[in-house]
This record gives sequence, C-alpha cells and structure tokens, in this order.
Amino acid sequence: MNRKDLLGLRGMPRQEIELILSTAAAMREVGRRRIKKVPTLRGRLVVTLFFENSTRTRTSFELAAKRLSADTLSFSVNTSSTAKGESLMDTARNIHAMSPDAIVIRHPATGAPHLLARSFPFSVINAGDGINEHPSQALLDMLTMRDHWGSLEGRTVAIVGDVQHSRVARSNIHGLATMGARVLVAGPGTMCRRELSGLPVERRHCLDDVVAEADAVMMLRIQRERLGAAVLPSAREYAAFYGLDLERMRRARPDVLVMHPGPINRGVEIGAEVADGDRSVILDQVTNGIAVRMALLFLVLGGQEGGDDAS
Amino acid sequence: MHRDFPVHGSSRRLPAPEDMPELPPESAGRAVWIPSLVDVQCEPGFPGFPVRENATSLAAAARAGGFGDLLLSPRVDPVMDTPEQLSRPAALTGGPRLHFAAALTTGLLGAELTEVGLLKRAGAVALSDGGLPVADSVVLRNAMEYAAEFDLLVVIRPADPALDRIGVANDSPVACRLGLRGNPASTEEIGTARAIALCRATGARVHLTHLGTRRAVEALAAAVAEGLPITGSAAARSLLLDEEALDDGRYDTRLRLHPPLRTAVDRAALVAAVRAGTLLLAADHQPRAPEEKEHEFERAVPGSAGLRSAFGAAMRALGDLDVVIRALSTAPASLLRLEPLGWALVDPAADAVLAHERGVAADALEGHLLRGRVLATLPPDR
Repeated sequence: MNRKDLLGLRGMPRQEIELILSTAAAMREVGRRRIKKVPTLRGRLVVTLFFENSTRTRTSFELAAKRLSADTLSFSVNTSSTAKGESLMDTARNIHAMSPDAIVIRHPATGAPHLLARSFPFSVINAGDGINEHPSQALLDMLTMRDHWGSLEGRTVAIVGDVQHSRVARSNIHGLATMGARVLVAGPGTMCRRELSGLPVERRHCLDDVVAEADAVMMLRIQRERLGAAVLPSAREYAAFYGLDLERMRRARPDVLVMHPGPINRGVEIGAEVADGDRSVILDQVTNGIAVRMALLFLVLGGQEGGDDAS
Repeated sequence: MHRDFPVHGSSRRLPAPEDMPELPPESAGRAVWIPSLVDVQCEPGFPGFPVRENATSLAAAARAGGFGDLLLSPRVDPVMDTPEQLSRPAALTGGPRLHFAAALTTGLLGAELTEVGLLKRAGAVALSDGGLPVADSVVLRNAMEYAAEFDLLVVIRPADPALDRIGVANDSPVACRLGLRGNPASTEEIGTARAIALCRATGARVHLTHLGTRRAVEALAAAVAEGLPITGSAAARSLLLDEEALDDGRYDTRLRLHPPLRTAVDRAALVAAVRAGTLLLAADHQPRAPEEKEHEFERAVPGSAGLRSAFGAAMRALGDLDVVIRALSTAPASLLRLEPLGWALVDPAADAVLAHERGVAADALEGHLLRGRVLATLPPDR
C-alpha cells in the first residue's frame, strides 16, 4: 500500500480495502499464538494521541502496535484544557520532536488528522475525527462481515441510529459502498437527516422498514446526552421505534448479523437478549479490531504487500 | 511609453502616478481608469487585533485592491459603540478614506441602544450589528426606529440567531459527506424576512450584508420592487466559490467562512442578482492571522481577507467592467452618499491565479484564477 496516512475510507479504492482486509486476516493468526508477537515493527515508534476518552480503541491500537513489536507512547489530552492552551499543531510539534513513525489520533474536530497529515512527515492514522470518519472501526466491521459472507458484494447492511453524527456510520457507508454492498439507514429525523442524500445510502424511516431486508444490522450507540434534548425525546421513545429487540429480530433474516461498535446501551438501541444472542457478532468485532489495526500499522509503516512477513 | 491612460467610458485621459512601475506592454494597452472601489463590509484588524492587521497593512491592501473608501465595522476591540471610541482612529496617510459604522447596540451585545445621535455627530455614517445577529427582534425594531429619525443606514447580516450558531459549512449533502456540521440556508432566509418586515414597519434605511442564498436574494429583490429603502450585498468571493470548493476533503481553513459558502445554485443566483443590479458587492475583508487559521477546520477562526481579490473575483465572475464598477464602486458609493470618488487604474483582462503572499492575511481565493489586475489606486481627497 503506497500511502503515508490512513485518514478515511472516502475515496479509498477497492483494491486497497481488500489489501487491508486480507492483511488483517493474516494478522489474526498472530493473536492465536502462545507468544503473540512478531518483530515486524521493532524499533518503530507509534504514538497514540487521544483528545477524547476511548479505552477500547486506544487499547486496541496499542495492543496491535505491541504485537508488531513497535514502541508505543500514549498521550491523553484533556480537551477542556487545550481549549485554553496549546493548539493541536503545537501539541503535534512537540510529539514530532520525539521522532514518531506514526501517530494514531482521535479528536473531536473533523479534519484534525488531515491537518497533521499534511503538516508533518510521520504517518497519521485516524482513530476518529469529529463526526467524520472512524476508518479502523469500519474496516473491522467489514472484516467481520467478510468472515461470514466471503464477499460484501451484493449484500445489504442496515445502519440504525444517529447516522448523521456517527463517524462509524460514515466510514462504513463509504467502505461498504466501495465494496459493492447496499446500505440502508434508519433513525429519527434529527439523526437521519435528508442531507444524508450526499452519501451512497437509502434512507428509511424506522427499524421495521429495514430489518427484514438486511444481511447485517448495525446498531449505533445512542449518546445519553442527546436524550431529552431537542434531538431525541426519551430512551423509551427511541427503543419503541429504533431499538433492536427480540420482537423485531423475529422479522429479521435467520442468518442476519447483529453488530454494534460498542459500548452498548442495553435496553435502548439493543435488547440484552439480542446483544448476547446467537446472531450477535459484537465480540468478534473486538477481536478483529486488533487484527485490522495491526494491518494498518504494518501497511502504513512500509510493510510489504499481502502481509506474508507477519507470519 | 504610456504615462497617461484613458478613463473608462470617457474621452478623458489621466496621468499615472509617478511611482508606478513600468507596465508590461499588454497591460499598458488595456489599462483604464475607473472610479475607485468602495467596500461596505470591511472588518479591520485594528484596534485590538495586531496579529491580524494594522493601519499600514490595511492601507496597503486597499491600495492593492483599488479601494478608495472603506466602511469599517464596529466589531473591533474596544467595540466602536461610543462617540469617544469613534474619534480615536487616525486617518491613513495616503490610504483609503475611512467611514465608520458604529455599533447598533452597546458592546454589540444586542440589548441596549447606543447613543445614535451622538455617534452620528462624531462621524458615524451607519449603525451595524458587526456581523452578529441581534437576537431580540424588539431591540432590532427599536434600533431601526431610532436610526430612521437620524437618517442613519442600518447594516445587518441577516440570520436567525439560534440557527446561526450551528454548523461550519453549508448544511447540505456536501457537508454531510464531509462530516462537517451544517449551517442551514434557512438561517439567512429567516433573518432576511425579519429585516425586511422591520424595514417596512420602521422606514429605516437598511443594508443587508453577506447575502449568500438564492431565496434571500429573491426576497431582497421583491422588497426593492416594493419600494422599501433596503439594499443588499454579497462578498465578491461568493460569486466564484461555493461549497463544492470544500469537497476535495482537505478541510482547507482558508475556506472556513461565516456565513459558509452555499451551493452552486445559490452562487448562480448571486451572479444574476449582481448583473440585474439588485445586489452590490463587498470585499468582506476580515483578515485573520496564520495562528488563527492553523487549526482543525471547525476550530479555525472564520473569515478571509478580501480587499486584494474583490476586483479580480468580480471581473472573473461577471466579465463586464461596467457591471463591476456599478457593484463595487458607484452603487455602494451612492448607498454611503460618497462623492467624489478616487480613481483606480485597472487592466480588466489580465488573468492571474491569486498567490499567497508571505506576511499578508490569507485569502479564501488563493489558488483560484481571477481576472483583472489593479495597477494603481488614487484614493479620493479628504
């Protein structure tokens, strides 16, 4: 892969997505060994720079780096203090002085990784920027689906919830469309707005409109702070129209995959029985997350095609 | 060697300034004098923001852009809301003539009326919300009633105060694709409808700035046809740029503007309205320091310099020197009751890509092809 940075799946060619997924599938084998480590990135420095709390994405990236023998350094920046103090560019200049090979950044503002990518020589991997993209999450979702289906071509994926403000949804939409899948979206009017026509999706009203058609249903996390605000009236209202419970599962295809990027709100967007049920692949998503992030670090830091020398 | 040049639309000739460098032959053959340009929407960086601009750099930008008169926004620090503040700025030697819009409300806070009569006596020619929408319609109505009695122009950026606060790009499929929060066109439509209604109710002379939506321009045209004392302007750059400029996914903060760039349909409506004479143009000069732009897109300070590029953008978009003269010079001059104007020597056909100049505030049009070059500016006598 001839690419310094991994900023998003928008515009990424199909062959590149396929390369990442096949490399990740190869990387997964490392995690099954007794000694879960290969020397591929020995001596390289990977910095995680998180301006938002995210235990799971950060630990997933750090574990991925460690399994490839890279050194890791972790910066957590409290955004409320940076609002008064150091700019993103100044923070990055300081980190640059430590000669990192790659920075994995999560930031509440759209375009933050793009700014670093064009300003610095190190590789930048987007671990979530604002409401824009979260490409590693979408790639691990696609890897999980591919494990079950072999190919994404012609499959139908429903994404339900706050699509408008979801970077997970946006990256999945770009990636899935490129891979030939059809994407249905559903959610409240404030979260699934008409402007979604700018994305390759079919917009439906509620979950009942999509659940029967979908090969996979991806439930997005509802942010508690949106409840009761002018965006969403209440949790029970949401659950009544957009929550995936056993009743709705009865209308789904028997082989449907139930997905969620986590952390889940049991009883709001997804019923406990469904989250823990036999169609749920939520924990497979976590396992695949490490493999996908190993593949990204490996490919961005100058690994060879195919992922052979990871084994 | 040409040392004097024809006045556009006349048989007169005027001499070039002695310090003007020799022109390339093709420019020398096309150069004409036009009335110097008038900016009705200029937010200078001083007093208060020395990293953005000072008196010298403002004068240089005006001279480079052909501007002889600037209507300065009160949104400086301290806010121009008292006669004492208004009397402080010194005239710019050899630079443009400065005119002042005083704050419509104290501190631009939208609550208390300023001393309109005393401000007029101190030299204010207009009252302005400084680009911040007045939240309270009662305050805005009262300000218009009060200003009407003193025959002061009320300058407003039309916006719904609550909708105005959301979003960093035009609320549209493009912003959705880019993962940017949207600022809806309806904010300007609502603000325009409110301003027109209050203009009708009070009889105040009203000028709407930063127009960028088709429906707001249509509403303005209807209000003008009705005979209301209302006018409107758009930033010259908005005739060339629309939201598609953001779609390269670079999140270029030079394009972080407020109000944001709207759609191609809106842009076409602006061009048509300028041609029809219902819309004036402004430089919308809001210089920003590099450290204000070197941020994530949504955190960069909105705004762009505009004095240097306004003529080239207008010529490129309109292609007709007479229309450009009306939109950027004679119509705004008549709005501000200015005469006589100075002169600008222009080559109306020189194509050039606007380049970034080190030490000069960034312009949203950098990298874009403009038409026409300002060769010399003779500001009006004071």
